[in-house]
Amino acid sequence: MTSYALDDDEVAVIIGSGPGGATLALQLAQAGHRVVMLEAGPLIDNDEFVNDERIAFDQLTWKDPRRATGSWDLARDFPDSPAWMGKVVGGTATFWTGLTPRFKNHEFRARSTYGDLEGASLADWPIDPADLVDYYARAEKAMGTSHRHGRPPLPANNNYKVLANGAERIGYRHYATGPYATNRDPYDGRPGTLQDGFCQQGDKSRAKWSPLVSEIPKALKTGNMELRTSSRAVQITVGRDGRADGVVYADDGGALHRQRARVVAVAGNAIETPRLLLMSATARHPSGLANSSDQVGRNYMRHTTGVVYAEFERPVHMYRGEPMAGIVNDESRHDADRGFVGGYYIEMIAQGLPSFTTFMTPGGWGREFTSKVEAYTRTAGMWICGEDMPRSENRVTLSTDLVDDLGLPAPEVHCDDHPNDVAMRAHAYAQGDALFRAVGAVRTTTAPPMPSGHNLGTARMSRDPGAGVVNEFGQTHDVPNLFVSDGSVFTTSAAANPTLTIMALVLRQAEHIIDRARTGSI
Amino acid sequence: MPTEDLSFAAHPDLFTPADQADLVALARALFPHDRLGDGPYERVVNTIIDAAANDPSLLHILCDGLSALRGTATERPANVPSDQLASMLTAPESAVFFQALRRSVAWHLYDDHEVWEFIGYPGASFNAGGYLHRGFDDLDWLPTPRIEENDAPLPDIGPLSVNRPSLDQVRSAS
Repeated sequence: MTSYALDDDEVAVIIGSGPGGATLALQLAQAGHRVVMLEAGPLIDNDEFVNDERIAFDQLTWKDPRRATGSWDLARDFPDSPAWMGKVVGGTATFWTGLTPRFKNHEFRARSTYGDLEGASLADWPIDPADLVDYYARAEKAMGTSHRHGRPPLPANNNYKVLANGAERIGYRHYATGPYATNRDPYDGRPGTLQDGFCQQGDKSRAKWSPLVSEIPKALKTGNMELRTSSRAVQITVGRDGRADGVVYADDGGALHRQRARVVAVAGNAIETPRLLLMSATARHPSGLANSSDQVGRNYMRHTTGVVYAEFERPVHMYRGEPMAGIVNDESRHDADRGFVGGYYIEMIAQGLPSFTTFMTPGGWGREFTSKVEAYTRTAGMWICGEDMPRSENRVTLSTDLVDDLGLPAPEVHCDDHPNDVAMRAHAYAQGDALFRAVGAVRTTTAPPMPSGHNLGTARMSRDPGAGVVNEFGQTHDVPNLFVSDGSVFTTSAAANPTLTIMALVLRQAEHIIDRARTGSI
Repeated sequence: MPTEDLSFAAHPDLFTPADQADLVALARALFPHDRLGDGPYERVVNTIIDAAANDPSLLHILCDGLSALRGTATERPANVPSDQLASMLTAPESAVFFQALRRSVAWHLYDDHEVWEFIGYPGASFNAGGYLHRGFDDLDWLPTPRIEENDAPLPDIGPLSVNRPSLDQVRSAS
């Protein structure tokens, strides 16, 4: 096993082992650079995953204290749990669902396309979409996503049959079982899916892509990476020259260590990444590291979401098979005539009974509720995933009273829905209702957003150092050898599920870092 | 198993058999499944009592809520019809008790394997080989749809090019 000394100041320290951190680690390690990866959670092998929603939640989830405030439903329904993210090697992707649409070109130019929307901090990305095409392709191949590069489509499961037929009957034409990052047939040393459900509890079979089954073992195999688990970063340190020179982290017992570094990349997800930058404030960076723009933590986005469940007279058994291998694209376009800007995807969703009863009607009880529970095996589901408007005041801040086990300030996530989000959600609920009723639904239930798996925007990418935290390569404007390598960099959210774009951006970032290291400018 | 017997196992110093019987009745009133036996409701109440035995604020809420409810009723909750009990529980003065009980009962009841069986949810499938050969696609009341992407272009911006039925037309047709 490779290991590096704490005082080795030639290593790249990567904080977080999710899709962003792991993709960067593999690229750097393959290029011959030394990598120390700090992961707050443990290493849990696929064999140790448990196909039980409650047990798996406890096993994989980041459960440190958090608080949700604002007018969004989550502040009412799940105030201690605004987001659902992983604390485990592989990050949130150990329990992701797996849809991988690309951004549309105009979604990189949200401000120019949608105009100046009151109450939204829309901006254009500093990236030309054409610059990402090759990286998108590489990310799709890395995941083996279906429908792309010769990978076959997943077959239709029961829940998809309902969704696709309903879509067809209300005039939608752009539905399919993917792109979906799970193998139908063996690929990249991993098997085809058993259609066993439960990918949101960790996929035991390894058919679903995650860093745990791909980038992490590949990076370790190069001999150029040390993976330190149960190592929670608490501060990025900066030297006299203004460069990041190390990362302080806490081990399992709470003891602190400091790893020196030549380069630091933060990939802690859009809540922990800004929290770490804010906690790393110093006399020279009084409002937080890399925060001269005052944008760290702002513009928090989580996609405009919601669920529509539909009850039928005949069986569906939605829990059988791949939970999200189904997508309808027709509403993903931008068509202001619908009463909102941006678009949304309609995505298939299946849940086990514990999650279904938790999220179907938060706070629900009584006879109507239990009659819906008793219809579980005759129920189909769809999830809305739409573009969320960035707002400057939707932000992650450090709590002034809530602390974690180390006594460090917990993150508070404030979010108020923009009227555009409300209009989009209402449209999607109506379409979902019509879609399911067109194939015979006898009752539909609309559910509010669940704790967010998509967390974006809190270290905004911008060309202007005054308007954002990082440049087009995810390099912070203030600290030249400090990078952000996760969805925090998203200038706007687009409608697409974010993992593919995170990976494409990081593949591009990795080339930039390797290039700069070669010329000695990092 | 009779409710009154079970309760002796679970902290009789904190909750009397009558307390437990009342909590079981309340759990059923909150989440009524008429064809489901008392067993799952009793297990749920035992789990909640176990939790309350290590959680002074929950213990306080439960004991306080029970006595408030008894104070307003002429009958013990266990003897009040389920639907009537539910409306007593939602009285404003029961808000804290109601919320605590609702949350805990929902959480544990739908994690009970007898309830899973009652609803028809089988849980884990991995050791049985998933559903690849066990009906992941056995829905037969709808045609098998296309799984490939549609090659026709979808506009990035603007209305759909196909002539779609209005939602009202769809609704009246179905």
